[in-house]
Amino acid sequence: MEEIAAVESIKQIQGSWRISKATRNGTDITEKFDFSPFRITFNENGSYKVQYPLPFIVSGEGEYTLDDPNYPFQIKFKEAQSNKEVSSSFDYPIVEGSRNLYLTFSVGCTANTYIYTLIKNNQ
Amino acid sequence: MNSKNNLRKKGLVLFKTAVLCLLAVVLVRCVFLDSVDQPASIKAGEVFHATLHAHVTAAEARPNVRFVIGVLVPRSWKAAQSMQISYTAESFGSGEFEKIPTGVKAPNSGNNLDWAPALLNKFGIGPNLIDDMEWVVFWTKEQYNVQNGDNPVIEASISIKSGPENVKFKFGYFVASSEDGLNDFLGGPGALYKTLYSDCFEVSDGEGDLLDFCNPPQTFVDPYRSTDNDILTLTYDRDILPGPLNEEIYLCAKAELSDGAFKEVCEATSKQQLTKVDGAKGRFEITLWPRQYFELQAGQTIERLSYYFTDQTGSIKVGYANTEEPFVYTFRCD
Repeated sequence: MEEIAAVESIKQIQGSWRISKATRNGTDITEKFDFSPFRITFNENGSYKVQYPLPFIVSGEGEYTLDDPNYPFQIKFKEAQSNKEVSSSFDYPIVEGSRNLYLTFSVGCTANTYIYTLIKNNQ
Repeated sequence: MNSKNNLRKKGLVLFKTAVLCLLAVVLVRCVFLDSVDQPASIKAGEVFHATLHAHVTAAEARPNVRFVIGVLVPRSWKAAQSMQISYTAESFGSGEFEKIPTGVKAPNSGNNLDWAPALLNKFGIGPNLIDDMEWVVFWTKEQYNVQNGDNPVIEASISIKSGPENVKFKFGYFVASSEDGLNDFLGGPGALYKTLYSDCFEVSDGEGDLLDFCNPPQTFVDPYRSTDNDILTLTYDRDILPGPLNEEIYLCAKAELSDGAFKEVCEATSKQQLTKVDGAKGRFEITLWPRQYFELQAGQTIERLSYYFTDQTGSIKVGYANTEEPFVYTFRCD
């Protein structure tokens, strides 16, 4: 059963995602800034690719892992170019029938927290 | 200042919430923040004291519950280091609160967030205007086994050492239980937690110019502390000091890099144009990512921005207090 659940949770995040909502310290900035060109793709082999630079936890390409494949609470990225490792809290609820992916991180001052809500690119 | 600023909640709000609780399909534990007594001002460095009155109506037995109190204050207060809360609750006992440890998630935050970021995500900085505030969240050291029908009435005494700066802001207060957290489903939104904001509170006789979180300045930058890799919102209020600009306003900004070079973006295209803020008369804003806006190369960083607001032709240029002096924003995190 565990193996099946693990496969399911990883399968659920595979594919290309875009930003549907962005907050900064609790303020909704989705409509204030153009997030629309951003894409992140999670591949089955554990690699990711970010297209279009934006303030985000990582850039370019690299690897990702989930802390617990069955019940992930954290996603870890490792940038290929810099070998930098960073983590984000992770949640992927179903909202109005669609899988959402919440990523929480800081990119400038550590006191400034951004939460991006990602949805599959084809939704 | 001995005068007390009594923040009584309107009876109507209490009544509506009580009705919501009664209408809940499932049994819940409604939490009420009845009032907070606090001074209207203190001197910088003095200890701030407030008394918070709350009560809970429990309609379901729950073991190992803690009562949670959060306070919204300027980051410069470093309130987590000095805040102390003690409480009495008749028939339940009395004791102390402690800071909720890092890594403890707020139930039902929707995001697996710790308590402080969960409150910031849900309530932001309340009615304050400058994003340089934080929620500091404590819970009772003691855990309680709450029985169906229990109605504890809580009086909590809060003390915090004020920061060194002259500042005006509105306190935020939050109450909830460790079990229900930010649950919006049982009993309806806000039945299981409450927030309350004070009138404008002032710290005087301290360092520096008055930092006013309550009233809009001519221009301000959110977040108040940031680096060039944050997403910034620059706000300009045309009505604070009425000037020559009409509703078509552009940003003319110069970035001073850490290597001493300058990069200027001073055009009048859609990229530099401010948009009107809905529901705020005379207020315009522009949101940008400085690294992208100034087309920085890897390794380049910005130390300072100096900026004006202009009309489409660039012939009208508004600076600090409507003079030719630019507005200045320095990037810093501390």
